[in-house]
Amino acid sequence: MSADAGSAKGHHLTPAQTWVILGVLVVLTGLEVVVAMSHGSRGLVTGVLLVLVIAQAAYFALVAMGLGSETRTMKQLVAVPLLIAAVYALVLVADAVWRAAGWVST
Amino acid sequence: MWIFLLSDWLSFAGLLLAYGILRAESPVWRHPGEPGLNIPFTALLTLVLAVSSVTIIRAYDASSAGDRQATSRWLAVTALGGLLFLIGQYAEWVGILHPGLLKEGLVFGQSAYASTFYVITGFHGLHVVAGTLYLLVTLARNLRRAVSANEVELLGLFWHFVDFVWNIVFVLVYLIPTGSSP
Repeated sequence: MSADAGSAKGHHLTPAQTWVILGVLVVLTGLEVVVAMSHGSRGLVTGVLLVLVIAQAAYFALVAMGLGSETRTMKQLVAVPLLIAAVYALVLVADAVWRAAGWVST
Repeated sequence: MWIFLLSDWLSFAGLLLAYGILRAESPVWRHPGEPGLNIPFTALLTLVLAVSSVTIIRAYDASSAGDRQATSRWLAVTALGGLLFLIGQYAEWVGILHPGLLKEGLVFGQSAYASTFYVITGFHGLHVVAGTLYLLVTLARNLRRAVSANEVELLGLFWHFVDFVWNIVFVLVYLIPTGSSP
């Protein structure tokens, strides 16, 4: 399940593969809930959750949505704006944390 | 379809970015008196969407195999998943068996916590509404005359996208600790 409207053949998954996808999603979601409800430090829990959600999103896009079987150009077309947005988000959120901590005079 | 999904994703990314900045800047994210979010219930809704992502793959497979009846069946099951999710979101916001967040004091505009919650989950909910309508229209068309595998594939991509975004919203909005006691 990956192609665009003009594609002649799509990305087929066997029933067994679809159950594997469901299993991976359920396990990752379960892990996220367990981590969120644990009593670890706030920073550690947030960090682990971010790693888990990035792994889950990448797995979902590449396997379930079939981006992994698309052409290299299509992969780059999707990945490059996502990476730019991620870096942009990282800079802006870090700046907000910086300001909230009072390390920058406004 | 990928280009459309990418542009749609950037809308979500803008909202999530604003959420991240507001949250990072805020010394107290959830103020005393504001209700917490029901994580187990929302995890169940996440599971419903995950299952519906699998059923739409089965619909596509059935459509590729030319099995119109099975296509209709899997499309109907997927649409049911969308409807269940929407009912769950209504229960969470407004309440069905128990009072919802609105009655518990999470009022839009009252705080950044409340406003970002309603805007982000509401925007996603609109996508679920659109996806469910898309599913029902495709199902109705398939009942009259078989729809092509390509059409089901495009529908599936959109539905996967709705699930993809929800997984991210679930972690960022529901799971990251607020650092505030209820």
